[in-house]
Amino acid sequence: MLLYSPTLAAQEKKATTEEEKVPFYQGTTIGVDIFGLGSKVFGGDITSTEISVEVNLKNRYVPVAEIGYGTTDTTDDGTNIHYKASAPYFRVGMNYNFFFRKPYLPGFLYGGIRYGFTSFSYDVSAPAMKDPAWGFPEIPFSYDGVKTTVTWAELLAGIKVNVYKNFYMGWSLRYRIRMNMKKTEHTEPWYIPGFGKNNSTNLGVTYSLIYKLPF
Amino acid sequence: MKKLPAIILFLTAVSALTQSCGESDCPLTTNSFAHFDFLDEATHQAVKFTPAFDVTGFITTDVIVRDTLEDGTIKETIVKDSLMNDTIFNKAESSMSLPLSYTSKTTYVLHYTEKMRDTIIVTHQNIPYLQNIECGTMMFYKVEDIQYTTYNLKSIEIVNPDINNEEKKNFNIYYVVNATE
Repeated sequence: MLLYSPTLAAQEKKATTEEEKVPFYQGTTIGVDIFGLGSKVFGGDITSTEISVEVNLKNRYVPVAEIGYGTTDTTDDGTNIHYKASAPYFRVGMNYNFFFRKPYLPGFLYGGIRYGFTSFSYDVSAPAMKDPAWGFPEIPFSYDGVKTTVTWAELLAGIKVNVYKNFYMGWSLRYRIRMNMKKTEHTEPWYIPGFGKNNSTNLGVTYSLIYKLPF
Repeated sequence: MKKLPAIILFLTAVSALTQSCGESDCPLTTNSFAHFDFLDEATHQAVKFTPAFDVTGFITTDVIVRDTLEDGTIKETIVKDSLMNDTIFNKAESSMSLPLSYTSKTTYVLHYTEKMRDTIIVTHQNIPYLQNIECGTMMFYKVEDIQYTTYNLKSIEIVNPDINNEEKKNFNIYYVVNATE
């Protein structure tokens, strides 16, 4: 049985009106990712950190720009191959606040996309290669200043929570898909700043401390 | 927002997992082999040798020779020398996969019988390659030329000059079938 309810209709109208009243500009936040710094502390080979700037529009759409710096200088225990790279990286994209109808909550879940880019050079050297069939001759393996450019896309989900006044913290889990990578005749990069270890796809995590600007 | 602690716990667990599961996939083999198929020249059908035959390999490389002179000093001279690998491939029947050397030329001798042999000389460019520091270095090759005798085989076709750790055909060796039976 369907009954017309004037009260329900009024509530829906009120909700729509409130949604329309949400100001376009909801503030700007600056965040610092410290997860990549922690990795080195716990014995990882890679250090990275990044700063993100987010602009909240209608508490729903959040354009994001991220700039970071990643570095590694490591020798693999098993193969004794040394790899060194340091470079900045850049990402731009957008987050979507799934809780945009609940601005009174202290935090929210979001999804997002990113486009990442880095251009860098790396050094790689390995023990001399010995012919496995004849045992002779030995070929040296050392390439310095190998230049490459990598672009990738990211799909991410995250959470952001207000911890004190204008201070927030947030986690994000990122699925990275490598799009383009410039290969050279002799090597591929092992670590790509901003992307992580070189694979066609990769998982990444950020843990950010965030400050909402007072304007 | 009651689920916030659970979500944070989940993200923490996933992040720990991504840190610990950092092992990357290494190729099954890092060795590169030149793959030869034996084919009938007329029909291009596979040819099977019965009995199978063995293959030996040779390379020529610079070797340092030390001579002791009359005054007791040692003189070092670089000379070309040939190194043989007598177990490069056993029992070739309808195909064979042969390693190339780190020099620029690799020579193979196909021992069909005690008196019937063919020699194949492959001239190649060597390409040291590193895909992943956890997997080690590899040597890839690009075939530049191939020369051969035609005592038993008729001709050799280069199907793919790029030789790497992927299993793919590089050469077809054609035989006149009546002559091998």
